[in-house]
Amino acid sequence: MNRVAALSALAALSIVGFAPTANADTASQAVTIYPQGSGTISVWGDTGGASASNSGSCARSSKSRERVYTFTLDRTATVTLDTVGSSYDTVLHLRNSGWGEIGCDDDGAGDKKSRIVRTLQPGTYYVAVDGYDYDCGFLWLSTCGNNGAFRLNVTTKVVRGVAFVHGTGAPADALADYWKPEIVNTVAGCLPDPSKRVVVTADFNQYMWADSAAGSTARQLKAFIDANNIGELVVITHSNGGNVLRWILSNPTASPDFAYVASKITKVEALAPSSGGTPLADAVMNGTVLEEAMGWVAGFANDAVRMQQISWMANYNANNLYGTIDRPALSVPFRATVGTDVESSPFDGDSYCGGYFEQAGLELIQNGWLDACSDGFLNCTSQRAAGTYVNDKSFTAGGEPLSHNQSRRECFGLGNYLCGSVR
Amino acid sequence: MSSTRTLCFAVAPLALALAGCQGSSSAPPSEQQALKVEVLAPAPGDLTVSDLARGLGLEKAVNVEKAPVDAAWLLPRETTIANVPHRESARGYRMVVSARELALGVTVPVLVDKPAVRISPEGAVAIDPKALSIEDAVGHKFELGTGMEKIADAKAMKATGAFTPGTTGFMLRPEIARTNRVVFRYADAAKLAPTHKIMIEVMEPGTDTTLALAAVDTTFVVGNKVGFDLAWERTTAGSLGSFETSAWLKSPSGKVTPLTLATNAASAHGDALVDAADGRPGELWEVEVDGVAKLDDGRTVKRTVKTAFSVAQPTARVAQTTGGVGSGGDINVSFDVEVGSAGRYDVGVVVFGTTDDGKLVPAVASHSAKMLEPGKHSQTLVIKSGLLKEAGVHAPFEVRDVRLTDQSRLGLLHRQARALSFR
Repeated sequence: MNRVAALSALAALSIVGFAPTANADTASQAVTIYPQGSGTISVWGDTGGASASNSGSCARSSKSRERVYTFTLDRTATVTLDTVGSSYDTVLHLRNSGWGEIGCDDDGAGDKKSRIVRTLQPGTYYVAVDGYDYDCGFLWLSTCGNNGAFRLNVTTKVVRGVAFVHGTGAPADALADYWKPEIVNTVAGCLPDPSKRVVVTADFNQYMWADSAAGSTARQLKAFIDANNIGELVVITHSNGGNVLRWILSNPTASPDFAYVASKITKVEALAPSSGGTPLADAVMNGTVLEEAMGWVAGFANDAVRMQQISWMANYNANNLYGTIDRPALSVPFRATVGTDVESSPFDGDSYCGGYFEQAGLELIQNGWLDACSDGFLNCTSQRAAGTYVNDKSFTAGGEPLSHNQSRRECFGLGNYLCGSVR
Repeated sequence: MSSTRTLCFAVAPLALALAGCQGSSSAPPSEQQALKVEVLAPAPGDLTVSDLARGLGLEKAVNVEKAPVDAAWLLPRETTIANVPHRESARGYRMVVSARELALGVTVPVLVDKPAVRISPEGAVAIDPKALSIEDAVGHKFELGTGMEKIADAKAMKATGAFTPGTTGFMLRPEIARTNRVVFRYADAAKLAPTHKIMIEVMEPGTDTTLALAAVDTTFVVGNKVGFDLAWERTTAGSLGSFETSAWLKSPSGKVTPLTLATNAASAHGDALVDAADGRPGELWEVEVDGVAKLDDGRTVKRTVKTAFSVAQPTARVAQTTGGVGSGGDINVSFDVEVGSAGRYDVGVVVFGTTDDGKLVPAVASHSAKMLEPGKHSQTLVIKSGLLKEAGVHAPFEVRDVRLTDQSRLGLLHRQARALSFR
């Protein structure tokens, strides 16, 4: 009987499906292990009683008995397999779901123990713990039988990255013009590898479904994922960028890029997303419905502003987007950070974080066009319309509110708050 | 950080087959195979297409992706699915006047103590609020901004980024607004051409009287009758004396058609036949109503309300939906799709399953999209038993929120609340 165990101290990992098997030495009989996230799991077994059905290309002969394990990755990960702790001259061979060999090692871990390191895409794989020759090493060195114990260590390392996707507009340099290096650096600095970050620049003056908006965003995210073998991607976005992300995640079948990106994103941190539109978009667009009379008003607007009118976003939420009330949830968590108020006193230093927002016009807008709970551009109801939400004052230093301008800047500890999603 | 979500994406020829997306039945296959499948006919409130639009091109298409893509993901049990048309509620109004009219005096009804007013002139020629003379209903005159608060000049308004260049604004002082009717006169109107247009918008936060407008559905198909419901709503005691309305229908390309409303005591209904689609994919139709009402205490109230709805070209239809159970306990949902115009079409469903405590809950969202040429096609969604198991549900199942979407033209063509029952 096989002897299997999990290192339960590695809390982030789990092993399931270790029902003892009489002879798990072929792919069809493989025992299943499920690596989850990053970490190491170890299993113990022996080759006693197994058959010598398979052999790796790096073994001396095909006479060694082997045990086969299978594992499934739900995201790209760097996987290290080794047999350190085993009692004989092992060989490891790694195979894909079609049993094609994608790695074989004899003594890579030293002391006649084996090691294979590969970056693997999501899918199912097999790993065979085999011997260099005969049952468990050289026949003349051992009569191992059921005592030929091995230890298989499986270390998965998922590369985590963060992407910043801007809001309305088409900035030439989104890092400098929309975000600022301070907040990007703060958040990226909380990654295991701070270099795994990207700032997307697309044309969000267009409708969210435009190729230059959602299409461009998905292509940039895919390129970043592929270039860095990203297994877990956290997207941080602001304002109308939340709608573009929701378009991609709500319509994964629209393109292979959308599906691919959706499969890699693990969370969207939507800062002040305009999920429910804004009365200010209505104000910019209208006028009256008599377009001829109001051409000068509508001429100021672009497609993104038109799209963010209240009734327009309500329509898209009902027909094209997921994540709002009475609609299916998105496939990933979409957490809105809600700006609940604006402090615009010229005598309050906090008003200047992120640049002083003109007081007179802002106060008029807040009093006339927006609700008491707003960030100066979006009502709280709009920001809360999709996904889950957190109010600004619940985490900011001093309980300061985040105006629409401040919720994309390093104000009142926003960066550290976002770090919680990428650590 | 580890994720507990399960997503299944398949992009031909690459299949991203993940743990829950594969076999492992949620109930013994024999049990699920014994399920009786009941096909449910579309019910009132569902959206269907009867006559197809044939031979439409893809010149304006926003998506001509050729690769088939499938996607499925788990849904939280608290998900609610419903089709609820947006109800827009207005607490202000807009009016367009000429420079000549403003020189002579424009009457502006107000209902609250501190209405906010913005003035957006044609050609960004700002009108300084302090140059406006205000006369209240009892003949008192206020000059040089004395009747105003929170005055925002063109520079202050521009700094908010919310309105067209040249926009100015202010709030009326309570003692003036309480007289219910004021007259604006612009002493410098002679500087403008007599026909120069000026838009005045009055917002009345906290008002007890709003005008609400909703289309009877979120989306329609060309050739269908579009209905609208209008209602005056009051949050305080007191009734409406009488009211008048002017209504317009505006197509995405800006074509305006007067709309006749049949009025009741404090509500109205209108219908329009939308017999052609125009504009770009995803752009919406709008209906706008200007209403003027007399309250029972003699005061006048004005409101402008607008809502949006989508109109799709009937490029394809679901002729039939059928279901079955696969050998591994998978739930299969097949659509006979009749295509009149080539395009990329997505079929999507939400599968409900039964929990151990007998509740029918949302479990899985499943979609499949591909390019289809004119003719009859079959598209099948396979909801893997492993995914249903991971959702923690078993039979009975229901297939709900069935949708057919033209991804090329962004048109919703079929929406059926309940389509199949597996018992």
